[in-house]
Amino acid sequence: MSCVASHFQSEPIKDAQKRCTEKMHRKDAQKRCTEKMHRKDTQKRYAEKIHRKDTQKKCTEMRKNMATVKLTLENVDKEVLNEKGIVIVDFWATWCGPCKILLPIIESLSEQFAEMKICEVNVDEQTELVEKFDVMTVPTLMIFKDGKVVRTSIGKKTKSDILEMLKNL
Amino acid sequence: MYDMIIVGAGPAGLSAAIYGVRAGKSVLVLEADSYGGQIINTPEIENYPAIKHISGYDFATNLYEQAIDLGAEIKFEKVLEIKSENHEKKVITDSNQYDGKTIILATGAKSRTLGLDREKELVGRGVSYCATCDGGFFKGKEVAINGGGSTALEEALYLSSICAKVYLIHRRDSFRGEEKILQALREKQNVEFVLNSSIKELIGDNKIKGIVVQNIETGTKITIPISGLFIAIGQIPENGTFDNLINLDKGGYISATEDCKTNIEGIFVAGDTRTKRVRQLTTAASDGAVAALAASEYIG
Repeated sequence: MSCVASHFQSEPIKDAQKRCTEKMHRKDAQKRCTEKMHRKDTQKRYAEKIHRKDTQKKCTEMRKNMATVKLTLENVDKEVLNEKGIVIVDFWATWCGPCKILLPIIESLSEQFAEMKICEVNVDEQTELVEKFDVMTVPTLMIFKDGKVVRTSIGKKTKSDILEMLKNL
Repeated sequence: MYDMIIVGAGPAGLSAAIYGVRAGKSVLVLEADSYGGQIINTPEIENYPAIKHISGYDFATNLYEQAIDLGAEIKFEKVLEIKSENHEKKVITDSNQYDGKTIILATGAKSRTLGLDREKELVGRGVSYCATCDGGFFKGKEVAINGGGSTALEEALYLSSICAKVYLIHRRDSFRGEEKILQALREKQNVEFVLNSSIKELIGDNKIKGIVVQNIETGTKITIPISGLFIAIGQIPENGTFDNLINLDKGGYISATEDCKTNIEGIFVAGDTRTKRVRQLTTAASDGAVAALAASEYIG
């Protein structure tokens, strides 16, 4: 019967079957699959449910190489309030998705305007600064000129939005 | 000429893009804002099958990269108009015009606003549409939450665990939200129910300092001093751009059944912006698949 059945199979179906069989038996795929299933770190991560910490760490690492000044209550006078010229302050949090969307934009601004100082505040770590500047959401961007807030933006923005904010300062 | 033009790069639009390119079609995704849609605001997703934990940002980024790696093209342009002429569709954006054989509308939804004076300028100055995002800034303070659905009740419960006092303002005396959460709220010492009432006025110049609330039955107005107002009165779609062509329901959602087909042949709809009962990540992804496969079938 099987011969008869296969006799009636059209060429494209045979091709597809062959491709499918090949795919299923591809040794590298099998190996990769086995490796994946047994990867200790994956098992461990799920077992310990530390994804949140992972996310936080990843987020902090995303920011590690940025040329921004990390603000604290100790350095805010020197870096922002007594600083002449334009300073951008980015208030963010590890758990804030829109903050991450904003990150590459901030990065490109710091490359484009190398002379402009960009500072950042992790709102969970710097609660005194959050109080001081009355921040009530993240992301919040504040633009300072000669130590005074001249523009504030709330939520995620496009690069052209931020460039617009920087105009005529 | 693209095979598919998808409007919106949220979970529904990007899922549609994945199914579209895998069906061998050329796919353009247009997005006015950033990719990801509303899920970007969710710190932790725990109900997407086979993913135990993931942040909304990581979910959106994975989906975005997956669609691009498979060959979808994404442009960040705002769609102003769509046209349908003799089986050909045109999409006009703020900077270009594109021709497509099919269109998939996946424009999502956004938080409904109260529509009060100065509401917009007070966003981020004490007015918020996301308690889980912004609640932390109101630790130990007095806040109000407006709404009567599950989201409002859940957010009220969350706020009651960190704030000194939570006023729950609702225009009816019964709730649509879960009874269990409601019970938990009733047991909280710091939650005060302000029922049959609606918010009439926002007080405060630079930041919110209080609200004027009116009892719908008696007409009596009271002022409640607060430092934060959370609004959880549901969501609205943004489909005004398409209503010349596409049938919308009373709420402004695009009318279509589970087959994701609109009243115009070759134009499909996916995700939260469609008339439907359940608006979840899973149903957005599901719509994306259904719409893209229907579009592929239409192209032939």
